[in-house]
Amino acid sequence: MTDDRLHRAISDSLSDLASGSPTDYIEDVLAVTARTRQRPAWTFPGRYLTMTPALRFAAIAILAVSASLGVAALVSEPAPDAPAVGECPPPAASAGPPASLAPGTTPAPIVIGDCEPWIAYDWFVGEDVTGTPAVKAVRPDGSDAHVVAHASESHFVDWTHDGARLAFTKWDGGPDVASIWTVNADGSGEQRLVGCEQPCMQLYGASWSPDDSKLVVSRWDKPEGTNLGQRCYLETVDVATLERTVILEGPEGGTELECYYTPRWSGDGRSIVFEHADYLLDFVSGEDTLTGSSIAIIDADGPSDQEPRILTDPALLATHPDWHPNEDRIVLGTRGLGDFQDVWLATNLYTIRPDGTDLRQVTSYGNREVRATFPTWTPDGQEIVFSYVEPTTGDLSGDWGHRQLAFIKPDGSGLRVVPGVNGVEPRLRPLP
Amino acid sequence: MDQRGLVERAGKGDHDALAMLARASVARLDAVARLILRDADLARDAVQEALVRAWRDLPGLRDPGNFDAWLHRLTVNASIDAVRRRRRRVIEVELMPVHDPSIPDETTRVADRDQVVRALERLDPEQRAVIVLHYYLGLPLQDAAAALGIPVGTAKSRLHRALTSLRASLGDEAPDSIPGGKLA
Repeated sequence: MTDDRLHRAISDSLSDLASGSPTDYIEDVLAVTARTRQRPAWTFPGRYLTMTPALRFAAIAILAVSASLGVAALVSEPAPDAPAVGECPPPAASAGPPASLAPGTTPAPIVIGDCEPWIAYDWFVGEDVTGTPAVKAVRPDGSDAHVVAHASESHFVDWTHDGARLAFTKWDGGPDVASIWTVNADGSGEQRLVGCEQPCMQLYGASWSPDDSKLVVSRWDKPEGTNLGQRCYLETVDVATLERTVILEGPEGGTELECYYTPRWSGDGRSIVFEHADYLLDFVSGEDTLTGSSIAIIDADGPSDQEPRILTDPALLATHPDWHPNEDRIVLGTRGLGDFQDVWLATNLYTIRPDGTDLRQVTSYGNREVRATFPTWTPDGQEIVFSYVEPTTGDLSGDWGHRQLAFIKPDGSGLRVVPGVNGVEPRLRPLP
Repeated sequence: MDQRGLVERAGKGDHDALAMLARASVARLDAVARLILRDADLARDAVQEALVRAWRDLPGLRDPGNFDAWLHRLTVNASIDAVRRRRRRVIEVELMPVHDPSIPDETTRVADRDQVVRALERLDPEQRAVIVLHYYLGLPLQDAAAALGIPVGTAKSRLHRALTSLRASLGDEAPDSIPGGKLA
């Protein structure tokens, strides 16, 4: 077929297919727009998207200077890097290289003082996304980013409530095998705390109980050699004895599978909030399809056959919940970064009460705009720290985005992007 | 009042101005969305989403002269987002051919058209979007790229891949070049 013939055939085909477009629905659409509020130009998120790094840094610097000058109208809350005066001992001197490093552990050269709020997060050694994944820490002002623990792949970092230790997930036994590891804040003492054996494949997404005596983790079973019989659980792990207790057991999966992710404790330690996700499994293509996910709550003590209380519509694709440290409010995201390549669809932050009422939207980004995800409360409950992902190439697919760390207040005000740092899944360190 | 004036009025909150702009554009937007999505209901949803976004964000449109390109972009993005949502959330539904393949060919031109229609079904929505903007709306590749928010080189690559796929579906060899310039 010649070029001319092909182009003519394409044009003819498109004209045929496009003819007779039904457009009588326009009045319905206009009724919707009439009820929709316009964004004032000065709050249009695209403006922020188009800020250069220099401008953004300048804006953050202006806010910081304003805060230091006591401009309460601009910054009414203390910056998260301001130490809680009188509550912390003086920063400890560097202890030097730890005496008993686990094999392969690299000590962090930067000292994390006792009274310093650091953000732990996941990224790569040396910032290069083709490099080795690592657990990293950075000050809230973006300085002193460094590796705390190397990991084949790590996820869901969580601090103990005294800020001395981190738990994280490490894919340490092959492509699908994950265990829970811990490391001291200074990078010393990295160790595998607990793993599991076939048919269990993964323990992951650990979170410390309020008294740091237990972890709650997700567990995924997949019998070797078959796709059938998969099952998901939530378990608690006694940190002293390593005894594991199932607190929620999902149904045995066939082509449908129910799984539980990112469990987090309530402030009183009596309940667990988590993501309750439903999948359709395609054993031929190997692709799993998420059909819905909700935020749900269970009792922290079980029993394993308890019925989760579902808080959100599965169509919201709610994910990554975190319970306010001392209030009845849960922060959540909608739609995670998924396959880690997709920055297309809107991902926003919300808060909701544990009884499922009063869902409030914190961010309101649209498709192809900033993605707000992986939210967790700051230890004082005043702010939310989250992954702030900007599209970079403008291309329609394959855009990793500029993955940054940011703070925002629960009412959607006070957005602050941590300058100069790439990362995801941030968690602000509690102060002792 | 000309379109620029209507866009400026709509940007200041005049909903009647938006209504005039939307009624003048809806047939074209619906056609674009249906060509990309191959589904009338999804197309309607995409057009609605695009127009709601347009109304909401019009105060931020810096150049009213870019309204058409901007609206095309919103529609294309809403259409492709609709495809991706469907892929992510449910088992993907095979797109059904519009024409029954068993319809006998009457002329070469009709046969070509039927073949192309079926081949279009097999393109990625991103590739179909370039085809629709370039061949249906008649946009030069540079404008199509701007409407899609992608570099011109990417648009050229996508068009090249789309044409190569179409030719392969039609049992042809791929051409060495594409209209509009060298490959990026």
